[in-house]
Amino acid sequence: MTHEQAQELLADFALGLLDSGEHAAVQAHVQDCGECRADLQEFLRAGEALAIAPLEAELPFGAAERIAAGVRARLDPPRPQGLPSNVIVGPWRNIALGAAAGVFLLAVGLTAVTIAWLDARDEADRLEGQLAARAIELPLSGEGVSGTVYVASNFAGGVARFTGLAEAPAQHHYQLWSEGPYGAKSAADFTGSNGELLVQLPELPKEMTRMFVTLEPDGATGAAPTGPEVLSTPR
Amino acid sequence: MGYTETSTTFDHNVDKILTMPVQASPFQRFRAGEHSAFDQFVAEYTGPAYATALQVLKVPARAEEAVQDAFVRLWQRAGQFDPDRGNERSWVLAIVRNSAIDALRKQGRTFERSIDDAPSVYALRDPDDVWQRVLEGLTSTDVRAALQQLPAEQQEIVLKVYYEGKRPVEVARELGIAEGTVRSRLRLALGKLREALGPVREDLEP
Repeated sequence: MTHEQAQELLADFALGLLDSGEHAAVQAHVQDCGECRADLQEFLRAGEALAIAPLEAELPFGAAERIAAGVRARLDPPRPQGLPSNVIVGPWRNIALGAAAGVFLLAVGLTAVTIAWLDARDEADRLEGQLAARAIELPLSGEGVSGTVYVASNFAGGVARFTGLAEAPAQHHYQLWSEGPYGAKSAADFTGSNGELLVQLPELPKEMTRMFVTLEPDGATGAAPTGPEVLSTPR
Repeated sequence: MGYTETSTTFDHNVDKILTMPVQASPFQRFRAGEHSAFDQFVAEYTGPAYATALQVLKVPARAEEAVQDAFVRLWQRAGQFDPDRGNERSWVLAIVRNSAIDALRKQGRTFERSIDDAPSVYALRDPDDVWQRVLEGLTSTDVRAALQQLPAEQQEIVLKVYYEGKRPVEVARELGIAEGTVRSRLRLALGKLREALGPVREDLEP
């Protein structure tokens, strides 16, 4: 590639627009040509500025959670063995089986069929890993208000969705707790809304056996629930 | 709206830019081995990543998919980012854009190669502390304002080539102009943008 040809293509190169042959040729030329390398810097800088200015676009409802869950599912390696016994324990067994029985049976059946047909342990492990990556759905109920907690089956996070939860009274807020052998641990606090509300949850304890929401006075330490329960998963 | 030679230099507060405290971002913490910071990184970039992908792909569901692909690439390739040679936000969103363009070209069956070459292009970026600090202080509003000051025909080329991921030859066909004209307008546009967005270099150098 001549110097003049490279000069013509520097902007395209900086923005990643060239096909592989031209890209490689420009790259080779730039590495040996001080003038082109200097000129390239300006185009690279402009490209860096363009990258930070996409047009505004509102995320569709639930997109952030779907993207996060999709990325997490693709990054978590499939479990080499069967489902771990501590994923669904105690009351969770009933809840999770109740909520996802169809999916569970279908997947187990599919796994068994796959094993029978392919006699391939790795395929079975892959399917079991996919099953394990599903979220567990937990209903929350209270007087005139309802909600659902979706917990990743590895407990790495979740989302709580509330319908009809009125705004907390002045100087109060809601607090979502998990409960288990460790006692009660705060998972999130929020003020409520008259419509639908989504609350993103952090990593949750695997030993938890229940989740519930209390109305807390502002300034409460958050170390333990002090106010009345307004919503709870089944005990 | 026309471009004038004497127009834009943005009012960067140079002292503020050069003395800004540097806090470790979730991406930096992830690169340093704190894997739990990746979720925060994803949450931080999901909005701009989605906007970037949607501009290329136009369809929300496909944009979401491309963003997922991009985050997986970023997990795998975070180690290739050299903070001395590139701005984190630009690098991350360039990967997202490339991921979206890959998806676009696969759909159009004109896919020739992955354009996931941001790392190799950025490797040719010379360290430039001043520009790094300028980028950290730039907002998308600044960049859009600078774009709007370009001549309309140059704005159009930048929009189609950069933000919509079209090849110069496709843009030339679409606009009924020569491919060389597309390329020359692009070069002019990038030069003017860089000039408009950068502070006066003499003001920054000691």
